[in-house]
Amino acid sequence: MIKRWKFQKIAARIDGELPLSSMPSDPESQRYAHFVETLHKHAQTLPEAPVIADESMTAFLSGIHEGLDAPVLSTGRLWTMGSALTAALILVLSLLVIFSRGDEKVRATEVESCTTELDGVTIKTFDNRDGVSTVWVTMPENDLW
Amino acid sequence: MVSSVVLCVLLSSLCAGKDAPDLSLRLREVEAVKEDSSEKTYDRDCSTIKDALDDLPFNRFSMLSDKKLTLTADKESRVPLAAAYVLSLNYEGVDESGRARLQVGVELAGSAPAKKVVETVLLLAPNKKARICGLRQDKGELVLVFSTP
Repeated sequence: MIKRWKFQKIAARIDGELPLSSMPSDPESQRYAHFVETLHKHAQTLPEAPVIADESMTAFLSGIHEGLDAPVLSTGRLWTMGSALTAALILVLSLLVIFSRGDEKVRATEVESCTTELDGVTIKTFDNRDGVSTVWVTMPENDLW
Repeated sequence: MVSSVVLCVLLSSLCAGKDAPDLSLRLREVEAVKEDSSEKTYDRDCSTIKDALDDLPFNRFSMLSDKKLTLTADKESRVPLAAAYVLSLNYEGVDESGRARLQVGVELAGSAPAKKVVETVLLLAPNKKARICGLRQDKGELVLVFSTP
């Protein structure tokens, strides 16, 4: 508490509110005085804050209103859109799988039907052990052909 | 909005009818002869289709012809065979299971009206074989082997 009061007095002397001649000479006070002087010096080099003139205030406020009214693409909105697109994609892929199931390829050859116009000729069908579909014609031995 | 458009495009493409593409068909004519030998012999070309020949009750197999045909849907093709037969092929398109539907007829050459020894409808799956056996000729029998790429 005492130290704080002492530092306030030092600052008041540097600001010109108290006479500089009464500045304490102990090392701690000297260090603090040096710190405050440096701070003052750097603060003076900073540019002055711009001032909005009264005639510019209307345009300034209308700009602020425009900014407030403009729709903001927030992170939450992006997440919502992303989720909706993902859901639509999943739906499309699911439908694709469902509809394309009907076109699933059958990998077996088949003899659907067979007939003959010749008397005495018989036909049978079978698949051999290697899966080769066979139409077997049995023709009697005569001179029909 | 974008997903709705994509959905519509996908659904319409799935529901759209497909024109049947041409069918590439390989037709091999094999002469199968029964000899006294107990050992089966295949010529060089027949040895590549042993899976379609080795269960037949013949000893010697010789390739008479090996044709690569391109068939257009609903257009009949006629192929004279080495023996006294004529082959008629009518490709009817691809069925819902992805197999080529092929109407095959074997007629006696020179018969009027044409007499069909056999008429069959084959459903050919890709990379599989089908065959017609038992067509008599002077020496042994004729075996027709059909395959698709």
